[in-house]
Amino acid sequence: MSEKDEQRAAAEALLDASCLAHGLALPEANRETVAANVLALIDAAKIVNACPLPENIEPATLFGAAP
Amino acid sequence: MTDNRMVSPARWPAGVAIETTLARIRKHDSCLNAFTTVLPERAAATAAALDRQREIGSPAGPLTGVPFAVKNLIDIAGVQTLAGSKINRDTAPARRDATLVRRLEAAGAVLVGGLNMGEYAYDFTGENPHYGPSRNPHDPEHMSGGSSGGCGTAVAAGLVPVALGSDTNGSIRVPSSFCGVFGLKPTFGRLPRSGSFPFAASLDHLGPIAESVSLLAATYDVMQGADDEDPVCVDRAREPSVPTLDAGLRGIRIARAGGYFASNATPEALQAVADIAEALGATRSVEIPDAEVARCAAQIITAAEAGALHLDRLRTRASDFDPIIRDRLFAATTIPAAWVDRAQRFRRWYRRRVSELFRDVDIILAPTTPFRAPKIGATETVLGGKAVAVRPAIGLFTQPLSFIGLPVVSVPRWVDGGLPLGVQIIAAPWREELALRVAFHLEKNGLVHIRRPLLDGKLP
Repeated sequence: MSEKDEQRAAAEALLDASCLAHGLALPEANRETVAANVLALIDAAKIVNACPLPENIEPATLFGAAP
Repeated sequence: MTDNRMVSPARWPAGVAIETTLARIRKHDSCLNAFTTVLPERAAATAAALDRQREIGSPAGPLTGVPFAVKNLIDIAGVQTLAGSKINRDTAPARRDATLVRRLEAAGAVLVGGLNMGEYAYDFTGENPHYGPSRNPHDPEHMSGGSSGGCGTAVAAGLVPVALGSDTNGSIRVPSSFCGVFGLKPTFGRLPRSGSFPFAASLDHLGPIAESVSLLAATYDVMQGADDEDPVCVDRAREPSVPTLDAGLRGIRIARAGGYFASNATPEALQAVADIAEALGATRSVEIPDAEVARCAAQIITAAEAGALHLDRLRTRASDFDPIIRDRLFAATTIPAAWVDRAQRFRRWYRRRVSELFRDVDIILAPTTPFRAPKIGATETVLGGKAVAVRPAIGLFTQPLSFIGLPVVSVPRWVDGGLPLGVQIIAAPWREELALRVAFHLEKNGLVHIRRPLLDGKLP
């Protein structure tokens, strides 16, 4: 299995778990495009997670978001 | 101010202004598809009431007789709040107008209708499979931009002089860029969102799109003020921008955004910024740190909040979504809490670092979109010699700014005779008046302006 196939399989597994947890029925025809969207989110998360942050930084919150 | 009309857009008699507006909408909207609802009876009644008030000598509001329309995620009493969706056709009509609609009408403006948009605002194109795309008046084969696509189309075509839109990741600024009009995304928390259908609550802003800076500012001014119904809206004194609009540039330190904002764009988009920077004498460049990370974090938070918001609809009405939006929302339900937490931590840190930039500059210039409006239906384009997906690339330069709630005015620049391109005038939090002042200076000196399109071979 290529790296790309492995990533796709992981995205589909994540999607299946989410559908189970949320009671969602994903149409089979949409599986591929939704998995591609999951992979795009994974790529975005990797970039955010790789950015070093000070240890004591608090998360912004909904009501704290106004600058 | 030498020309009072520049800050006083009142149009008399209101009945005539509204009649003309409605006739223009009837004539041109069938090809532009900006409106999903037109309200001739309501508009005529409001205008007649304004004219009666005038006859008895009542003082006029600053927007008296100015027609306006709202993105159809903003509540209009008696009308279903579609939010661009098929699903919301099954909801009850709104019981009352949104807060900002009430404030605009209290200032004398006249609501004429609801405007087309991308489904549930999860869109940068202005395309919509349920209602058709809102079209770019400068070339109807091209995108209006989204998700406030109908706002951009209606203002650019002269159907209304001002519209109210929303901006979560760029949805006011993108159609302003593609359609060649002025747009203001205020500071997060400045204007109340009560009575609007949400997209991603920690990022949603409402704001105006207009045919001139003076109207943009006048509209913004009357919409300010605290609102108990929106917990995000800050209890802050109104800070009118119109009185200082013509104060010039003296004392304003202006720089161009370098790094991320000076790459990943077409030469025309960079040229638009260079033209404006040169005109303003802005020779300095500053780098907004980690803008790409900010964009990724905005994507995660947006998806997480939107996925949670639509979960019930995904369970029960999945087949009624725009397929592109549905696929994104399904994917969004997979996001782990740890990603959102990390993105929110980054957000606070990033906001702090960007705030430091504003110690040394007052205004930062950047492209609004990396390219001109693509053709409707386009899925790929070329940036920096590489093929990229059109939809996400549209928001490259808007997302890192709304992510931390900075106020931004997008102004239209016409480069090389092609479709327009926006330039973002970015200010520190709560300094909308500075961005509007710079925009006004540019417009007054002819560097940025709207250009009326030919519709059916004639000016609208």
